[in-house]
Amino acid sequence: MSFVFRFVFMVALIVPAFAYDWPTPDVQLVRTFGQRSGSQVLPGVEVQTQSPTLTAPDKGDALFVVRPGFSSVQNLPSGLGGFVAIAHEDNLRTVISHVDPAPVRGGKVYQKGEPLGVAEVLPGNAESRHRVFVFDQQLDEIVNPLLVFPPLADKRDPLVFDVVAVPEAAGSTVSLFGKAQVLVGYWSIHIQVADPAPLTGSNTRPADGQRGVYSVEAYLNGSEVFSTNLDSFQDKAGRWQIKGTSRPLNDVLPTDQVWNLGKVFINLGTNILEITVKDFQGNQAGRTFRVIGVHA
Amino acid sequence: MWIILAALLFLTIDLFLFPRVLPYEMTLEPHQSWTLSENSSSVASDSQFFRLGEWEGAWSPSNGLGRVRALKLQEDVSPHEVAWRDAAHNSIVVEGVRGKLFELVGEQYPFWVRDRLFTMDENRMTLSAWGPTGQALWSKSFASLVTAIDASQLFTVVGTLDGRVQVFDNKGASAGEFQPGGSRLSVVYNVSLSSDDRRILVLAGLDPKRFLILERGGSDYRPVYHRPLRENHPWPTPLGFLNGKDIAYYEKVGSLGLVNPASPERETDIAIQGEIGDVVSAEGEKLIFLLDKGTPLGVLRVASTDGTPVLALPYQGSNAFLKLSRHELLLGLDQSLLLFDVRFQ
Repeated sequence: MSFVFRFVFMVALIVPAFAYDWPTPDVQLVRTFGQRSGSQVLPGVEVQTQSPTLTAPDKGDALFVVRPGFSSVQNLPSGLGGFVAIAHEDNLRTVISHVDPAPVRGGKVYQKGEPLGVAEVLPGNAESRHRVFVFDQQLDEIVNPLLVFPPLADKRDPLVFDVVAVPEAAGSTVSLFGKAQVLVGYWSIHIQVADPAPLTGSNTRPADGQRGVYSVEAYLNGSEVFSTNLDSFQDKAGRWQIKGTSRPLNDVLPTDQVWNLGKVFINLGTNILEITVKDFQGNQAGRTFRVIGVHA
Repeated sequence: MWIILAALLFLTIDLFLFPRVLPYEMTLEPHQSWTLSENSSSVASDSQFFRLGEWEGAWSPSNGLGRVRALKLQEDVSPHEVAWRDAAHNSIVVEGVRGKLFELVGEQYPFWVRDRLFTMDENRMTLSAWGPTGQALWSKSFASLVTAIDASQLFTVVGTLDGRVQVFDNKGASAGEFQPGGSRLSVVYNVSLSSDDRRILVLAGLDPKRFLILERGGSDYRPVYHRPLRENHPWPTPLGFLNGKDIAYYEKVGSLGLVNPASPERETDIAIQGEIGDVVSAEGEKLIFLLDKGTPLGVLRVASTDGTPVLALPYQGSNAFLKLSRHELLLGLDQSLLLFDVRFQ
C-alpha cells in the first residue's frame, strides 16, 4: 500500500513539471533561449524535425492562428511564417512557428497531441525548423521553453572559448587565457561560451553546432559577482531583462556567444576568478584564473 | 488561366459597354484598364504605389500605370513609398517616387502603416519606428507577440497576444495603456486609431471576442463602449474608421457592422458573403465601397452608411485591392487595373 502511495505521489510530482510535449517526438534543439544571432536574441527555442505534422503540446484554446500568406488584415511581417498560439489552462501560452495550420473555427480547443497543421519545410530540405515560445500570462514573462517541455538528451559539456577583461576607461581588452597581469581597478568580465550541439540532418549548417548556455556563475576571491539562469525575460519599459537581474538583456548578452558578467574590482596582488557555465541539462564547464593586479 | 482571362475580358467589356446607373444618385463609369506586366517605366511624381498579388507597381492619376515589377524580398508598399530587404547588403531599402531614399542596416522586417515606416524583428516581439528620413524614433521589446498595430503621424497603437493595448508617442513614451477585460482569455486581434487621435477601436478577447471604443481623456485612453461579438475567429478581422474618424466598422458574422463612434449604441449592417477585403469611402460621402472576397467570385459592394445596398458587382480574382478618391475608383484584380469614374449626381 505504501508503495502504491509513493508511486502515485512521485507521478503527481513529476507530471506537472513536464506536462507539455514537444510538437513532434523527434525534435532536435538547434538554438536555445537567450541565444543571440546577429542583433537579435531568441526569446524561445528553435527546434528541427523531420515529422511532417506538428501537434499541440497540451490541451488549450486556439488563441491566435496565422496562416502563412493568407492574412490581409494586420499581416505583420516576421520570420515566424504561419503560427499557432495556444492558451493552456495553467496560464501558460505556447506559440509554435512555421506551421501551416489546419483551418480552425472560433472556440476551437486543441487536445494534447492533436495535429496543429503541416510543417513548413524550406525547399531542398528534409527537416523543418520551428520556433517555440512560452509566455506566462500571469507573471507577464517570456519563459524558457526548456523549463516546461521534456528534457532533450545532451551529454556534452559547454565550452569556454575565452574570458576577457574589458577596461572601464579607454584601453585594450585582456584575455585572461593568455595573460595573468592586469592593472588594479575596475574591469568588466566578458566570457565567450557555447554549448556544442551534435545535430543530424540535411538542414544542419556548421554554425548550428553551437547552442547557448543556460547559466553562468562567477566568483572573485570567493565572493559571488555574477549568477544568472536564463529562466525568463521580463519587459522593463520596452527593454527585455533576464528575470532576477537589473541590467538590460542586451547588456548581459551583448554579442553572439558572449556574456557580460559586469564590473569587478581587481585588487593589488593575487585575485582568484572562478567561472562556471552550465547547459540546461546540467553539464558544466569551469575555469579558474589567477589574476595578478599590478599598478601602472 | 484562359477562363480567368476570358472572365476578366467579359467583365471589362461588359462594364465599358454598359455603364451602371446606380439608385444612389451615383454612376460607376469604366474609364480605363491596364494589364500588369513587368516594365521599367518611369514613376510619375503624383504616383501611388500599390501591391497586387506578387506584383508591385506605381499608378498615377495623370499618367496611369507606370513601373511594374515583381515584389522584392519582404517588400511592403505604402501609397508613397516602398521598402524591401536587400539580403546581399543586410539592409532595408526605402524608395519613393523619385528613387532610393535611404537604407536601414540590419536584419529586420519592414512594413508601412499610413505612410509611416516600422520594422519588426524576426520573432514579432520587437517593434521599431522610423522617421521620414530613416532616423530611428524608438524601439520596444514586448513580453508577448505583437498582434496588431495602427498609427497616426503622432501616435502608435500596439496590441499584443497577452491582451494589452499600448499607445506610444513619437519619442516612444507611453501615451496610454489598457487591458480589455470581460473575456475568458485576453488577447488583442486588431486596433485602429482615428485620424484625429481621439479614439481607438479594439477587437480583443476570446470567449467572447469584444468590440471596444477607447476615447482620449486627459493623457490616457479609456473605454467608453464595449460589446461582445458572436464572431470569434482567432485571427485579426477587419476593423477601422471610414472618413478618417466619422464611422467605425468591424467584421461581424455575415456582415460588416457600422457604428457612429460618438454614439455607438445604434448599429447598421452591410450583408456580406465571404471575407471582407478593402473597405473605403470617399471623403464627405455617405457611400462605402468594399470587397467581399469569395470563391470563385468576389463581389465589389457599394452601400450607403445606413446599410442600404447600392451596387453588387461580381469579380473574379484571388488578389484584389480598392483605392478611392472622390471621383475615381481604382480596382486591382490579379493581373489588371480597372479605373472607374465615380459620379455623384
